[in-house]
This record gives sequence, structure tokens and C-alpha cells, in this order.
Amino acid sequence: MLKKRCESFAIFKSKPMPAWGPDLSKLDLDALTAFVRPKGKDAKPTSWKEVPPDIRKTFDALGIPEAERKFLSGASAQYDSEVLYKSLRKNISELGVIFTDMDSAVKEYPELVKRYFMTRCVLSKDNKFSALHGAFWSGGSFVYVPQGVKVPQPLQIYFMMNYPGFGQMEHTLIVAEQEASVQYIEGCSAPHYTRDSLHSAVVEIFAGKGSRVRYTSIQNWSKNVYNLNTKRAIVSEDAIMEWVGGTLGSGTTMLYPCSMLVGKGARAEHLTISLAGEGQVKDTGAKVLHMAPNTSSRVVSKSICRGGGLVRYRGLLHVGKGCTGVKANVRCDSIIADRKSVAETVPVIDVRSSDATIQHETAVGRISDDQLFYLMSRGIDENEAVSLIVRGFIEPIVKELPLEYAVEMNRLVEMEMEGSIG
Amino acid sequence: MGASVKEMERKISELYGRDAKVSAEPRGKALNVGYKIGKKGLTEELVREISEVKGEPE
Repeated sequence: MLKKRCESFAIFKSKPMPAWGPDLSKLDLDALTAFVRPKGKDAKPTSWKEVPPDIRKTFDALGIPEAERKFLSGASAQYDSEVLYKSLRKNISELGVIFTDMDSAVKEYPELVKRYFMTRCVLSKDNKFSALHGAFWSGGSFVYVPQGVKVPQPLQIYFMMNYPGFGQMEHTLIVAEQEASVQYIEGCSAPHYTRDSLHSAVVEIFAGKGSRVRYTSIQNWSKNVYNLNTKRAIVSEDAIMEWVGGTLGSGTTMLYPCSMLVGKGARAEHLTISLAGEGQVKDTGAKVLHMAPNTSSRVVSKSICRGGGLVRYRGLLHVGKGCTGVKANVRCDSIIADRKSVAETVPVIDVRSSDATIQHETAVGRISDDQLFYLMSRGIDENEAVSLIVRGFIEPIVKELPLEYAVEMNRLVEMEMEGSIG
Repeated sequence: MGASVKEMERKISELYGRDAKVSAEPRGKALNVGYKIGKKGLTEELVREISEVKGEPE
């Protein structure tokens, strides 16, 4: 692993900063603290009560242990660089499911890690930030679901960045073997300090033949966090890969989850919500590479900008030569809440097969005065009317979330939209 | 479950009795930033230290 880290570091040093996308000129990588070991790490807590009280209080306030008790198969919590708490229900572990932190996986499951960790899915050489990640990664999750095992309830990890000027670079590796199924949920938060922070994660997912993987991420970093991630899945024959994401926080986000459909009949769904308020740039989207016949994909992106925020959908849809019977549908809708805000769409469609059905739809608009008037004429105040309209707009994606997350997502979007009509 | 930044800051302020925004940012030593080199910056030295601290196999 050290060799891999050092090779990645050399690649990182040799690559320039991206010359496209949002302005990263104010991101001072050398000012970042790349590794912060949380207090209490050496104690290796095995129960929630053993987590240091001050850290426990923070997660308690966010409702993590409550969620674990109510509806999760397993839960994990990362504080700064390392995972402090992890649990997996006994009946799930007895099925051979592994849900542990990535650091432990390197030691306990070296063969699996060697086989999958940054070898085929996301490589260090992909981009500057995947190289940075390859050198300094710490924490994250390792999920392994054996053949035929269906994990009934979601696995969840919660990431917290507490150290100011910090670079959190956790690695998530999910392997679902043939006919397996798993749902994995991530949540992210950070308090707002005076110094900028960086979140540079890598997510690698291997969906085996006939498997089903759903990866859900609700990102609510503070607004001085640069959120620059690389997320990718390799989807085998007849497997289904679902990405569900809510990008609410952070100052600058570059995030384009990618599905590589390598087996015939593989399917990908990308459902995302992006919200940009004052000072926020959300450069997000999806990449789908159809690399086998009869593969299908659906991308639904819902963006909202207000207060001078910028949302940009950036997508790639590629159909390889000889890939017959491909079906793909991309829909990206944006709401611009005021005159200061900007919504852009940058789709790239590259079809090299003569037998493919491709649909692309885009709609950009503002919150209609007529709709507002209609609701307000029935005694609903302006904020509530805006909230109702926005909730309707994002509903196709929110309904895919577990109930607890759907409620939280609606609440966050509502708070962000307060007083947004201008 | 994602809490809003405002909500979190309020809760952190409630829990720790301080303003997490500016005044009492936690400092390096208290949080074990780099056991050996104890400084910031992205260097190969730090890469090696992370690997060593974690006790990673080759």
C-alpha cells in the first residue's frame, strides 16, 4: 500500500490542476492538513458508549445512533481522517457480509483489497484529485456482499470533518458479487471554519452479474469546503447500479458519478439533486458508458439555484461501437429562483453504434408567478408556496430515499429556499 | 442524516458552549495531526507517515 501511495503522490505532483470547470485557483493544497487522527482512535470503540463523549454528542445531535437502531443493517461514523465507530447486525455478518472501515480492510482482507483497490475502476492517473486521494486516502468503507446475499436494510456511514483547513479523503469500496444486493448511504457534514477545507473522496463499486447496488449520498458540507470527488461503478451483465445523490452544501463541487456498463443487459440509474445558493458552484452530472449490447440507462438531474449560485449539469453519454440495442434517457431540469443565479447544461453525447435509442431533455425555468399567485390566493404564504413548488420539482428523486432521509432532504431544501424569490 | 450547517453550528455551539465558526478552532496537537512531522503540507514524508501510523502492510 505504501508503494501505491508513493506512486500516486508522484502522479499527483506531475499533474496540473484541471483547466476546465469551476475556478480552483483559491484552493491552496499545501495549506491543507491531510491527516488528522481523531482523539480516542486508539481505544477502538466497539460500542457507541465507548466513543469519546464529545464526538458522541456531535453524532447524537445528528441522529446517527437513532437511525442505526431504527432501520439500518449496519452503521459507521468517520470523524476527520478515521472511522471511529462501526457496527453490523449479527444476522447480516453471519451471511458473510463484510462492512468495515477501509483501514481495517487493508489488514484483514488484503487479497480482496489488492484485487479491487484502485486497480480497474478508479485509477490514480485518472485525474489530479484521484492521484491526491491515492497518496493520502484515510478511512472510508469496505463493503463486500457474497454471491446471492441480499442485504435487507441499508448500510450507512456518516462523515464529519471537524478540523479546520482539513482534507478528508476517505475511500469507499463496494463489491457485490453475482445476484447480491445492497444499499449503501452516506451523509456528510462539517462546521464552518474560517479556513477552506477539501473533501476528495473516491468511490469504487463493482456490481457483479445480476446484482443490484444502490449508492445514496447526501452531502451537506459547510460552504467553504471544496468537494472534488471521483465516483465510479463497473456494472456487469444484467446488474443494476443506482446512484441517488443530494448535493446541498460545499462551496465548490465537482462530481460526476460514472457507470461503466460492461456486461450485456446492465442498467444504470443516476438521480441527483443539486442546490446552489450564494457563493456556491455546483458542477455536477453523470457519466454513463455503454460498453455492451442491450444496456440501458436513465439520468435525472434536478438543479436549483438562488442567491447568485451557479448550477451546471455536465454529462457524458457514450455508446461504444457494436453495442446494439442500447437505450438511454437523460433529463436535466433546473429552476432559477432569481435574476442573479445561473443554470447551465453541458451534455456530451457520443454514439458510435447505429442501433441505439437516445433521448435527451432539458428544461430551465424560474418559479412561475402564476403558480405562486395560485397558491398564495389560497392563503398559503410565499415561503410555503415556494417550498411546495420546489418539493414537487424534486419529488421524483426524494421519493427514492428512505423516509428519514426524504424528510431531512425536504427540510434542508426548504431552509435553503427561504426568502429566495427575487 | 444531513443536518444543515446552520443547524449544526447551533448544536455544536449548544454542546460545546463556543462558536465553532471562529473563536475556538481545535488546534493540531490536541488532535494528533501527524505523529512525527507535526506540520502541514502535502509531502512524501507525510504519505509515509500515514502509512506507518496505520500499520499498513506493504
